[in-house]
Amino acid sequence: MIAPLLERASRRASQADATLKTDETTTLEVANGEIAAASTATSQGINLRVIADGRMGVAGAVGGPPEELLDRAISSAALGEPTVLSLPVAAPLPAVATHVPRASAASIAELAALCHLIRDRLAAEHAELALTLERSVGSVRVANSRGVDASYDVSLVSLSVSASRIRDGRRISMQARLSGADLPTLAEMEHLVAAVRQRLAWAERSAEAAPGRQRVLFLPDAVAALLLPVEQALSGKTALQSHSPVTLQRGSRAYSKLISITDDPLVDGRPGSRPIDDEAVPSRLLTLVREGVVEGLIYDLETASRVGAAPTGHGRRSTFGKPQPMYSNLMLEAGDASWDDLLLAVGDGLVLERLSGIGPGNVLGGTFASAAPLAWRVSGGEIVGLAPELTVAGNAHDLLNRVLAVGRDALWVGSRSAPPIVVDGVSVF
Amino acid sequence: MAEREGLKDLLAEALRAARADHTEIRLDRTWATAIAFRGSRLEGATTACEIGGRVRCLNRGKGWGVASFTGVENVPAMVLQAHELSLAVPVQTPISLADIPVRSEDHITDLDGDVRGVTLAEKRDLIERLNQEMLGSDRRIVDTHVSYEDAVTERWVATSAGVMLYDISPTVRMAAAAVASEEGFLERAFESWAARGGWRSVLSADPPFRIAARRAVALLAAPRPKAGVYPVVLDPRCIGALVHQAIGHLSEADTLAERPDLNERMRTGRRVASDLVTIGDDGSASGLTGSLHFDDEGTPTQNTLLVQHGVLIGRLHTRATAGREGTRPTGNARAASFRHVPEARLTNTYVANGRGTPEELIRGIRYGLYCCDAMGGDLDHDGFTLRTGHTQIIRDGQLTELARPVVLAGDLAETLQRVDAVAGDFRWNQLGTACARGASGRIPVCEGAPHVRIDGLQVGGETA
Repeated sequence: MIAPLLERASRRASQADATLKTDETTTLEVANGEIAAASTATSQGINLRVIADGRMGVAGAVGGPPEELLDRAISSAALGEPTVLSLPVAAPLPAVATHVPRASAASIAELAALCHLIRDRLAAEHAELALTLERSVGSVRVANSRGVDASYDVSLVSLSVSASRIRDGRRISMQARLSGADLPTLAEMEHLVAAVRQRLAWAERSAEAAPGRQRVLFLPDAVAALLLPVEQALSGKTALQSHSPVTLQRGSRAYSKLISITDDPLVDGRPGSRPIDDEAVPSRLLTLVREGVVEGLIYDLETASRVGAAPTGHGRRSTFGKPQPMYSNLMLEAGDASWDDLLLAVGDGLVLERLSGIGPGNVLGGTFASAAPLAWRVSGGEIVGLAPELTVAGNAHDLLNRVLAVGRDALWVGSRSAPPIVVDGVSVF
Repeated sequence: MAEREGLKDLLAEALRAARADHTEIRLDRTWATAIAFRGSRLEGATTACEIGGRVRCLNRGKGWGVASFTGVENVPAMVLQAHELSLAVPVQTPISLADIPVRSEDHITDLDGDVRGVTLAEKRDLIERLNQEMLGSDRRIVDTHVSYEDAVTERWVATSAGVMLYDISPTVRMAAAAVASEEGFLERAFESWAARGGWRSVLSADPPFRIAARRAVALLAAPRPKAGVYPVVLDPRCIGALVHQAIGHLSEADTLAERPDLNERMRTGRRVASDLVTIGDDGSASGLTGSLHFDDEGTPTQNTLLVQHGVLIGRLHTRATAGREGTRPTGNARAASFRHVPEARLTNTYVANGRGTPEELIRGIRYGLYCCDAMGGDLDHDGFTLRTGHTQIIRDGQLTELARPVVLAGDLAETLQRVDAVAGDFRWNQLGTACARGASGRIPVCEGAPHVRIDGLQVGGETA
C-alpha cells in the first residue's frame, strides 16, 4: 500500500515519505480480585508527507481508503511554510531488539496467568489491588521517495499494579510498573511484588511532617517527573521557539556534575527502542548531558534544517500531524550510591515516591508546586514512617544543580530509566 | 445517506450473527482539520479522516470482551472475537446491565455551514488574522500559540437487543495563548472558544484573543496576591471547574465503586454544600460541547440532579453501574472514540442559578479575590487544588488591580458548604474544555454556572 502511494506522490511532489503503523493491543484488567474485561484493539494508520514547490504538507488516514490522502497532503503543502529539508537516503540500520516472538504469541490464558500470579503474591497484603496487563504487537514501516523502505516488528508488554490501603481515613496508593518487549520474567515480577510490599510496610507507621527546606531522596518515578522540564529544554524545537531564559545551549554547564543524560534507541527491548526513526534516519545513541554539561539536543528533520544542525534521528509521527522531535529511551545515568548511602546522604529529610503532575503551568521554566501524595520521613538515615500529604515546590533545573548522590540501581519507568537521587534544599510544606 | 444506511445494514447483519448474551457495536467516522500557528509561523495545517469501531460482548458469568478496530471490513470477525474474549474471562461477581429503550433513531444536526466544504486556505486566513492581531497588539507580545480545530463526527450505536442509533454533529474550537516578556520576565494568558457548530459559527464568533494578549502584558506588572484565607468570588469558569473536580468526578458511579473509601463522603442524603447550591449534569442540554442525543451505550441523555440545595441526591451511571445499584442509567456512559470503552463521565455540568448580580457579591467583601478561569487542578483524598487563570483584588467592595494566577486549595467536604452567595447570572462556558480519565479517554465537556462567593478559601499565592 505504501510503495504505490509514494510512487504517485513522486509525480506531484519533489519529495515524499510515509509511515505505516499497525498495532494489535490486548488488555486484561484485574479489579476486585478478578479479570472483569479482556480487550483487543487493532489499528492501522498511514501518515504521508510531501514537499511540493519547496513547501511541506502532511495528511493522515485511519481505516479509510488512501486515495484522497495524497490530495489532502498536497493541499496542506500549498499552505505550508517554505522548507529546505531533504529526506535521507537508504543507509545500513543498526541492530536492536524490538520484538520477542514468545511475547507476541502468548495466549490470553498465558497473559491471564501473569495477572493471577501477581494478584496471588500480593493477596496477603490485604490491599485493594488494580492490575492492568497490556500486550501490543505491531509493525512500523518507514519509506520515502529517495529509496528508503525499512520496517521492523514491535512487541511490548506492560504490567502495572496499584495497591491501595485506607489508613486513618487516608487513602494510600502505591504504583509499580514493568514494561519491555518480552514477557516479564519471574525475577522481574518478584522485584515488583517486593517493591509494593516494601512500600506498604514503610507506610505501617506514620511520621510527623517537618516542613521547610530539606534533603529529599527522589525515587525513579519522582525523578522522571523532575526530568520533564529538562526534556522540554533539550528539545531542539523548544530551543528554536523559546523565549525562556532557561533555554539550554550546547556546551553550557546546566546541572550538577553527577547528572549525565542520554537518549538511546538502541537499548534492546525497551518501549522506545527502534532501529530507525519515523523520518528514516538510522537510530544512534545521543548524549544530551555529560557530567552536567549540555552536549546535544534532539532534532527532527525540519527543526534540524531550520537551525542548521545535523538530524539526530528523533522524528516521531503519529497518524495525524507532522513529525515532532521526541525522545526514544531517555536515561539518567546511574551513579555509585547504594540504598544505605542514599538514606545516609538524606540524613533527616524525605523519601519521595512520586510528584502528582509538574505543570500544567510553565513546564519548561521548571518551577513547580506539586502534591506529593506518597512520601516517607527519614530521620538519622532511616525511614521512620509515612509522612502526611505534602506539597513539594521548587525549580527542577535548579534542583538538578543540587544533587548530592545518585543511586547505582536505575529503574525503567516506561521509556525512561532513572536511578534514585538525593537533592539538597528542597522546599516542602 | 446511502452510506449511513449501508453501514446500518452492516451492523444489523453482524448483530444478527452475534452469539453473546449482549453485543453492542459502536462505529465512528470523523473528518477533522487542525491548523496551528506558533508566533507568525504556520506550524501545520492538516486534515484527518478516520473510520473505526468497537464491539463489546457480555455473557452470563463472564466478563466483558472488547474488540476495537480501524476500517469496517472486519466487523463480523470482531463480533466473534469480542464474544470469545468475554468467554475467556469468567467472573465471580456477575455484571448485569440495566435495560435501555430499544429504538431506532437518526439525529441529524444542522452542520451550520459544513466545515468540509471550506478550504484549508480560508481557515488558515481566518486564524492568521486573529494571530496577527495578537502579535501586533503590543511590542511586549513575544510569542503566540494559536490553534483552530474543526470536526464532523458520525456515530452509530447498535445492540443485539435492537437499538440502532445514528448521529452526525459538527464541532469547532479555537484557542490562543499569548506570551508577553519584559526585562527577562515572561507571562502567559489563554483564551479559547468552542461550539457545536460549523463554519457559520466560526465566522460569527469573536474569540477574545486580543484580551488574552492584553492580559499577558498586564500580568507583567501585576502583583502576587498574598497567601492566606479570605473571601473569594469565583467567576462561572472558575466555579465550573471547581464543581467539575469536587462534585462531578465523585458523582461518577464507577469511580465510587472503585473507591469504597468515598462511599460515606458521597452517600446520598449527605450535605456537601450550603443550601444555596444546586448542581446537575445535563447531556441533553442543546448545542453545548458536552451535549449528546444518546451516550456511547445508546442510552438517551438527560438532566441529572446531583446536589439539591446542598444535599447529594444523584449519581451518573452507565448501564453496568445502574444494573449493580438497581437504578436507571443516566446517559453518561461516554468514551472518547471507538478506541476507548465507556465509563460514567460528565457531560455539561452546572451550578443552578441564584439571585442578584456579581457586583452584589463583590460589594460585601472588604479584602478578597475575584478569581477568573481555571488552568487545571488536582484532587486528592480530602482536598482539591485549582489553579486560576487570573485574579483581581477586591478592596472595600470594589474590584481593583489585576493580580497573578493563584492556587486555590480546599477541603472537599467543607469548601462548598462555605458558599454564602450565588448570583443570578448563569452562563454556559463554551471553552472547548476536555476531561481525561482512564480507559474512556479525553472527552469534550462543558460547565455552566453563575458567579459564586465563598466566605473563606485558602489562597496559595503565586504559581509559576
